[in-house]
Amino acid sequence: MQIPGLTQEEIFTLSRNIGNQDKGFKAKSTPFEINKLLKKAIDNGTTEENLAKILGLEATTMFYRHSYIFDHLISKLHKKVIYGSSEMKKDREKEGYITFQVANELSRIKENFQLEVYEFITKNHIHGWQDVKSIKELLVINDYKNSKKIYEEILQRKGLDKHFRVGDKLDLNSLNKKLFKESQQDRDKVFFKLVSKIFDSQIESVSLGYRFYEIVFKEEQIKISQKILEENKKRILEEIEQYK
Amino acid sequence: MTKEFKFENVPVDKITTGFFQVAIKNAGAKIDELEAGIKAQGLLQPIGVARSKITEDSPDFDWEVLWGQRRVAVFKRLKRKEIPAMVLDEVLTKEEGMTYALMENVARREMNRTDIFNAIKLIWVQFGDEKKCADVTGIPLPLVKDALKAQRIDRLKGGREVYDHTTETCSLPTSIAHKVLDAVMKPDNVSVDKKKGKKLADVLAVQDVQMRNKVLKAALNTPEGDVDGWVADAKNMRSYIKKTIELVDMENEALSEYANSLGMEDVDVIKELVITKLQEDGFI
Repeated sequence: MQIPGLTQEEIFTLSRNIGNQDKGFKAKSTPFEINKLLKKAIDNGTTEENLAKILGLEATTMFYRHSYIFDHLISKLHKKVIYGSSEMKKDREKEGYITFQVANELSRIKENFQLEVYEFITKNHIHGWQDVKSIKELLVINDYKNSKKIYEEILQRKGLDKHFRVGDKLDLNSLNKKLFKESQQDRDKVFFKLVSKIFDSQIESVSLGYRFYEIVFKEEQIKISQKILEENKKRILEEIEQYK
Repeated sequence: MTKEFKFENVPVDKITTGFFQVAIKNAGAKIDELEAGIKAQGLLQPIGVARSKITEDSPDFDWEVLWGQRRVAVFKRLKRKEIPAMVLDEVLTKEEGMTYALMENVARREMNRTDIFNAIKLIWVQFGDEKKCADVTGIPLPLVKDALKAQRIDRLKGGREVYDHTTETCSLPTSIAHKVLDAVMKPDNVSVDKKKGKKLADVLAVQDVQMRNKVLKAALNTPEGDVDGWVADAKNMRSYIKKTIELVDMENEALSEYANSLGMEDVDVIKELVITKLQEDGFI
């Protein structure tokens, strides 16, 4: 196997780090290091298609992704990027590493917001690329204004906003047709009264949807056993059914 | 091979080519002519896309071309953002994908949507069956479905107004506009609730894709509900996951004994131990 510009050792490193998901190898290099090798090969005249062929890849996507990330991600974060299959993943929390896919989403955010988003996700242990993608989309929709509000929204969605929550499924239309037809605001008012009778802890807010409900408590943690919680959930449904 | 294709306008930069293609070598042939044709008349035939092993592993690409890779190349050259496509939302193997590519190459006709609708109109009115239209006319089923969908916007009372509001005022993709029409379709099946449709589009326009999909899912789950209720459902659609663990007798007895000594139930002890450990190690 020959790739102009690369030594056999470098070719071996490439093959053990790129497209290795099905081969069972754990990536030992970082995407930053691999990107340098890819660049070296391409600068020495190897086409991306040829490189893919030599490495046994079906597409050139991975090369495109590497160069996109390191062309657009702020340099301060380059060495924080690791592969999802990397052995370094175990140190993710301690070292503030982000996976390749997270870096890919982060690199598509305006440069002056990247560090802020990086700090937000690492501080709150948000590791999923879909969440970073959502942050990116919300930043664009809001013209990069009110970023704090966007972060709050993401924390709420993920249940990371320091409030204990109880929620479950229901079928409101079958349980109570009257409540089903009320406006959302009125439904929530009624629901607040109903659940206040059931739980002793202080409630921050409630939401009664058609298929799901949720109760958000003021406290971060409330003392309640699983058994009582299940009983309370049954009572919630009964109260909804009996409401006139 | 009667899988469900849906017509959508797909972002061009989310499409990759090559994995399913049967004629990669000739992909560049006569591309200038095709470009001139598309510039002059627009795209007469939607391309076909599905998901593949490649797109599943990629955060950059959502779709792999089944047919129409030259059309994709032209759209990229023209820097167009979206391309009309028949979308099969399934992961196909290389063999399956190549079969579709071959089938389309054989079955292709130079017909636009209006031509197709005119060809199937009588059969559609008589039987109301998409497959029957395809079987009788020999037009591929995805193209039949596409033509019927395009006609539906104007066929539905209020459909055009809601569709234009969604795509033009709210700048949402056409695929979302079709879902909005589905969500606000009245039980008479010939009209849509215009007010509800526009409100839904307004709400979707300020949401990210993840939340947009949740609101639409909520709307389709409870079509008789209102937009605020759908949003509430989308937000409450959180997963409260139950995990099952297996313990051998000795472990189970020890757990029960420990729980008894604390005056707690077994499950509460497990939950508390797990959460304490996760907090200590900085995972939550």
